[in-house]
Amino acid sequence: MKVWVDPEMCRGHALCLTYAPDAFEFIDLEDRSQVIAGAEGTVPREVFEAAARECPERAIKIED
Amino acid sequence: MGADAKHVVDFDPHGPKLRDHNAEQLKELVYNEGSCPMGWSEHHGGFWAIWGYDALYDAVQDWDRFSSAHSQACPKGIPSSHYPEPLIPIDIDGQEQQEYRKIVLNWFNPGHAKRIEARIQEICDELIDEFIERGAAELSYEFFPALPAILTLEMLGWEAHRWREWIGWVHSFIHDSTHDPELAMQNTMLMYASIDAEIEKRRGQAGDDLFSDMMRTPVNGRVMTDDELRNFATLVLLGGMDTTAGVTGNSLLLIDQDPQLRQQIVDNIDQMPKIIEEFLRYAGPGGGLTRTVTVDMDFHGEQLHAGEKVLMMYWAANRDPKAFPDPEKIDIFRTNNRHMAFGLGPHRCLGSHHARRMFIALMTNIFTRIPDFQVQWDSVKRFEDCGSVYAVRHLPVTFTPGPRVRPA
Repeated sequence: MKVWVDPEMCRGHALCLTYAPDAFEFIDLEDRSQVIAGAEGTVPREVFEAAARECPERAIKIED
Repeated sequence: MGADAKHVVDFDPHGPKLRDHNAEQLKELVYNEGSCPMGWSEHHGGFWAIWGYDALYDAVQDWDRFSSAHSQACPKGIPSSHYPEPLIPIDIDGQEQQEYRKIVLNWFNPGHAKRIEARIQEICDELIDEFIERGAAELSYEFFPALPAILTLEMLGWEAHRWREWIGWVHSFIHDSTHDPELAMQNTMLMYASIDAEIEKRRGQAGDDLFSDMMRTPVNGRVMTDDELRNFATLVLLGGMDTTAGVTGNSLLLIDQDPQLRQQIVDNIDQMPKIIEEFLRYAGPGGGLTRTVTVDMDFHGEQLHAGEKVLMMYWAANRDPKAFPDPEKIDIFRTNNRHMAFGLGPHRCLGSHHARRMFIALMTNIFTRIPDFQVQWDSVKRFEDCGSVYAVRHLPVTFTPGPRVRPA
């Protein structure tokens, strides 16, 4: 499974940080979030999928 | 297709119907026979209103064809704004807009909002202590706008103890301009004089605050002029004041009318970060923001023409049944809650992280310190023109008096 936050689509709502704090981190000066390195190995897929459903910009991408 | 076959609606965003029968008015637009996501209104010289979630998502991402730019030659707003200057950065497009945002990102980020959580609680303690022994309070004056006003003034490094004056000036700036333009101008001048004093204070020696950063950080090739600083700072202040207070006041009115909902919140108070998302969706402070069409285009079944104004009805899209099942139900456990209360796209509200923290704090403190609050409905009054913000001007409540938490 590969998860990433599309940097062109992310607008820094940071809901992913609220719902999945172990999976996402924020890059302050770029006003966007990204997957924490290695999180795909430790955080369950359902957590990523739930975060993706709450992202209003639809910026979280999950691929097998 | 021949002549413009517009979906026409008799809709006045500044009118009493939207203010006094808000849910009904929004429903009328959203639940139309043809399932049109947008329509044309002849009020205020004619404009488009977009209420459909998918259409509004598309419009807000398409910042080039739905422009935020404002100038005297090409004014924004419905009706057109008389304010000559573009507000920075809300009235600017593209890379230039992004550059203005960048210089304040050290402050407007989720980490900063988290770091000031303790300070937010302190301010709530102090504000509630002022009225809790009285058993009555005017929440729309003493609490809801006071927290964002004080917090923003502190971030800016300005005189936070003058928060009551600042609220007065900002309110006049926003709400008096149509019916009492002289008063609005007077108060705007007072506000600007205070901002100018803050500029002077920092000329010789910058401080460690948001306003100092704004003064010394180059943007688009140079530091900002005094006019630009005044402008940007005004937006920072007014951006958070009646909006944060607005959603909280709107939510409290809904809760007071629904004992089951009140009990649900009491029973799940530790879930306040989740609960506020549903109130942001359903009770958000509005959709008075606009865009201007820059090119003729087909858009979601309508023919748009360059120069036409578009009303971005975020609050209506937040009740679109195509995006939110059973949208009229306030479901504090709702998932897939992709609401647009803070907008979407490049102009996503910079203050959203702080707004959420403050909204959580306002609600949590109400429910812990004055949980049996009763709204005094006879004296409840909304701001007249909810086209700018849908918020409560007077929100008197009574409650069982309680103890202060800090020494007097």
